[in-house]
Amino acid sequence: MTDQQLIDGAIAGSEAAIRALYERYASRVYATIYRLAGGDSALAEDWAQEAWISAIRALPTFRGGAQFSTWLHRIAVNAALQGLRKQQRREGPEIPLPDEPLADPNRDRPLLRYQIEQALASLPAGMRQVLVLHDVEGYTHEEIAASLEITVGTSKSQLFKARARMRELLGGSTATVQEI
Amino acid sequence: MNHLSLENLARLLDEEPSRSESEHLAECADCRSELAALRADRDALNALPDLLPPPPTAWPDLAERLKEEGLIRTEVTGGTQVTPARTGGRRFLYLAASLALFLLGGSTGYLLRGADSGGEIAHGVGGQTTSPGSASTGGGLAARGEEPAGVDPAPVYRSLSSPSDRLALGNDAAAASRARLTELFEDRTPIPAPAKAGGNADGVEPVRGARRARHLGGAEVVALEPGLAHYFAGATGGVLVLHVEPGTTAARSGLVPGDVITTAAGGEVQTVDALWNALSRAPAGAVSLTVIRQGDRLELQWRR
Repeated sequence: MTDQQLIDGAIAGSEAAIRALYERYASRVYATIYRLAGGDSALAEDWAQEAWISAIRALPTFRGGAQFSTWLHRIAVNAALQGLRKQQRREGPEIPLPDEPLADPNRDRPLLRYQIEQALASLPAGMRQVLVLHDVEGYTHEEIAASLEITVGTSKSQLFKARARMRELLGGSTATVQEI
Repeated sequence: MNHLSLENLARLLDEEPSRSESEHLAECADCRSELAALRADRDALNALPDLLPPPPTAWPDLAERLKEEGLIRTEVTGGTQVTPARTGGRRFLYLAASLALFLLGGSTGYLLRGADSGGEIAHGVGGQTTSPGSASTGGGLAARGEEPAGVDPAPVYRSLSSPSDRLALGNDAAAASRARLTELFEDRTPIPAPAKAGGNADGVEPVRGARRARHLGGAEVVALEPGLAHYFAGATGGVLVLHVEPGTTAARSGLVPGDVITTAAGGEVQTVDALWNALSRAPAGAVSLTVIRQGDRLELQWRR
């Protein structure tokens, strides 16, 4: 079935259609939200659920001209950013963790992909959001600035700080990193 | 020679260098090397998998919400659709079962190790005594980034190549359980700030993530469920140490897998959040920890 057929079914309230859409796109939605949630799977699950609820509710406004996956991805990012804002309001400013910098006991071994994920997860939320949106998801600074309600300059500054912090956390040689 | 800062080098991934930056890069091999490493980091980030399967409980939970919101009005019939009665209960049971399985394995390995070494666990060895027979070592192998042959270190990060693969994972309860269990014990996400919700009668706060393993100062820790506490002689609750990374704060403090931390900085700790709070709010220097180890009560110093 095409996306549009499933969307029509979902608008009509069909569980089968909604589930088919979910199974088609759930992994993409979850991947984006999981990284924005700093690798917190419980948080990501909650935010992904909010994203899906928002998307299904907004389906009647979806215009067929756009890619459904792109439209849904935007909703997922927005749900995660909204979740982050709520979390920051509730918890106040970030407190530095009494933890070690990410240890790299395998400096001479190929860096595993999950170390990248772990380093990403250990960034402060502000840096992580910008880094994920720019370097992982491919958003422009203008789009990021609009989404996060910050200036383009702040978006750039956060990105460069985040990349520098990632480099500190990952350590190792270029050749090692390239072996991912 | 003054090197370019990492932030400036990070900027040069997107922007042209100034004249002075160009001149410096032409002369400085170190800065060129750092720039290349930053570029490789960015490429690695860009190459992260786009697909990450959500936990298998996600659909039933979502379907229930959609029904509550009136967005599902026509349910699937014929007995193939599973709708949970209470999703919160499902999630708890799932995690509790995973934890119980892990702890059972861990306890067995721990006891076996104890028997092999005459029942003695060396004090102050900083977690370097992890045994090949212990479940915590099995979980910790992947968590330390060592990739055992044939074992994916992080199933949740696995990029499944086809929809049928993803569907198979979603439909295969055993695979899902393994993935979830591995995820549970590989989670090294920073400890979130404590939830504001109040605790229940037994002092164990029903906060999200309270039962998940966390990484703290090089130790992988989880709240000790009251129902499991009787496996740990002398402990009625606290925070259980699952794994200790050598050379870290936890290791230097003398913590070893199997320890149950009951107090930190003089205050009782029943959850990982409470432990995190105590450690983060204490002044710099040593923080006292009370630990139950094989029925003995020890006082350790968490040295930052």
